Amino acid sequence: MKQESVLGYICQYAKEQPDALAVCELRKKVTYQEYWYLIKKMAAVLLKQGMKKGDHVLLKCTQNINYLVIFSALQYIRALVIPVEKGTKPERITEIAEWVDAHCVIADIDIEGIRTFQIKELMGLIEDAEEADLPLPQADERSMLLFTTGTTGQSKGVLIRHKNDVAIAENVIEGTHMRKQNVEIIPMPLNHAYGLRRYQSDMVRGGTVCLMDGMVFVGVLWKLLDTYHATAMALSPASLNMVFQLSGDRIAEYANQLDYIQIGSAPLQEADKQRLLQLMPQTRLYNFYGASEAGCSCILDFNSEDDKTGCIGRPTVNSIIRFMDEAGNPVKKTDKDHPALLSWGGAIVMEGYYKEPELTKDTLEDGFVKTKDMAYLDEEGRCILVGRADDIINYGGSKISPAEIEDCARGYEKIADCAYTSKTDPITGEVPVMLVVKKEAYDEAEFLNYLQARVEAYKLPRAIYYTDQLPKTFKGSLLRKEIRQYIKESERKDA
Amino acid sequence: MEEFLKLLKKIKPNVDFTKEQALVDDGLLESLDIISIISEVAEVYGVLIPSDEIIPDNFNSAEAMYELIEDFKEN
Repeated sequence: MKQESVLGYICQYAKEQPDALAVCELRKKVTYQEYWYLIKKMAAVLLKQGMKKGDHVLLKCTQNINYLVIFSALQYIRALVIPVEKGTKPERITEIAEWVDAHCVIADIDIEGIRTFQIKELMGLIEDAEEADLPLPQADERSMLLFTTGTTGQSKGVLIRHKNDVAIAENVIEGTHMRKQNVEIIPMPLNHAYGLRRYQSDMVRGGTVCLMDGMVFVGVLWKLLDTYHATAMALSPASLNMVFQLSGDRIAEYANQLDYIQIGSAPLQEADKQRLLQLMPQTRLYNFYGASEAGCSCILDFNSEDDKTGCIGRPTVNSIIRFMDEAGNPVKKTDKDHPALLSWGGAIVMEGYYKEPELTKDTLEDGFVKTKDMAYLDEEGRCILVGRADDIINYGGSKISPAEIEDCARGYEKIADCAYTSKTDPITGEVPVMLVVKKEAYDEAEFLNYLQARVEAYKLPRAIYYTDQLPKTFKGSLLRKEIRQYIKESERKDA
Repeated sequence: MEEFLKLLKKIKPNVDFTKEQALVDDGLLESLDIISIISEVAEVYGVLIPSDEIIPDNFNSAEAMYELIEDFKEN
């Protein structure tokens, strides 16, 4: 039966297939019946703690069943859940909480200046709680506020509705030909669109999700594959690369067990793609194209004849594709010589950006999300991308805005200027580095300490290079291509 | 063990490896630290940690990591 929310499906499967596994960790698992029971009890706990319909609640991701129980319980009481990354510094959480007018924070640490509930304490209260019995959320109600860096680097809050969640989940289910008993391993962060939407698609299908906290503990991957007989995986290019680096070709042992692997969040390196194709010749290998604003709008099985340069596959079941020219006029026919700007419509489209009416107006038009991607449809109906402006650094699946780090670094008074960029890396694809114009009395260790105190560890530059002047346009904007080239040449000289 | 502690200290100077028993569970070691430890162990001790052994329990303390290295050194 068609449901209006992901929660509706969990509730349905709790009755229809109570003993089927819903979510697993290495040492813990819950069936649909147990999961729904925990969600209802946690909802009662949250209500008792003073949370209510319409409250904005920040939830720090802990990448486990407890996190998903609280996430779902917040949706069940109709609070607006705002998931944040597990590595987020307390000061940053306070900033976000202020900006989103949060009623409280739920985390594994105490956060100053705002009421904080510890995840462990809330879970401890579940045992004595009664089950809450509330109406299920409706399709047009808000389901969450997702933070995204997107391609502009500016952190934005994307308002998602329950109907978006369900439509995107259906895109994933249809696109991957997901079978009913799908068992999917998800090592991707559950505060980001990619990880969350894979979890949601399995819940809508009635499948099982196996949680992993990243891919560095690759031993956990093999144990999950063996214990729960997983049939699918949702990886990032960096996590796939880590599997190869840490365990060679071992993944091939599961070639007959895995129906499909989906790779998302960043482009896959050609060498890893070829290796995967060789090791898993019978496995469907998917790449989704999409954004937090309009998820999973196109799908490509790159283990098929559709795989060609620039191809992002075919539009998914709940996506409507539309092309526009630079002036915003619809373009009816596109081809190789006449590409146009892509935009996406349908039930997958977000409500808008939080507290950003102008940005929402610039991004949404007639219910379509405009992108900066130039593309065309070929004669087979495949969508081919021609180009995309993108300065964002993708470090191991985490997107970093250069502008954010540069702004922070410029606060250190012993540098004259800086540019944050990346260089290629065999494991993560790219690693962040910085090019600095020093002043007298500059001290590298002091500078790194300065940054360490202000930004998350993964955003710290892994190497610092020096120059007398940064390449800039006449308007003063950094010439990022030239900066990358400078780093490349410095590396070559050092070698 | 002394030498190994120095190696760990080089990778993560702010952590007291002689005391901490939940390096992974408490978030003191991040994924890129684990990668650095695995690479250094391969380089310094010539030990390639099998992928089955790359699990949080084996990296929660300096002792656990050292035991792992010793096990695979002997083999």
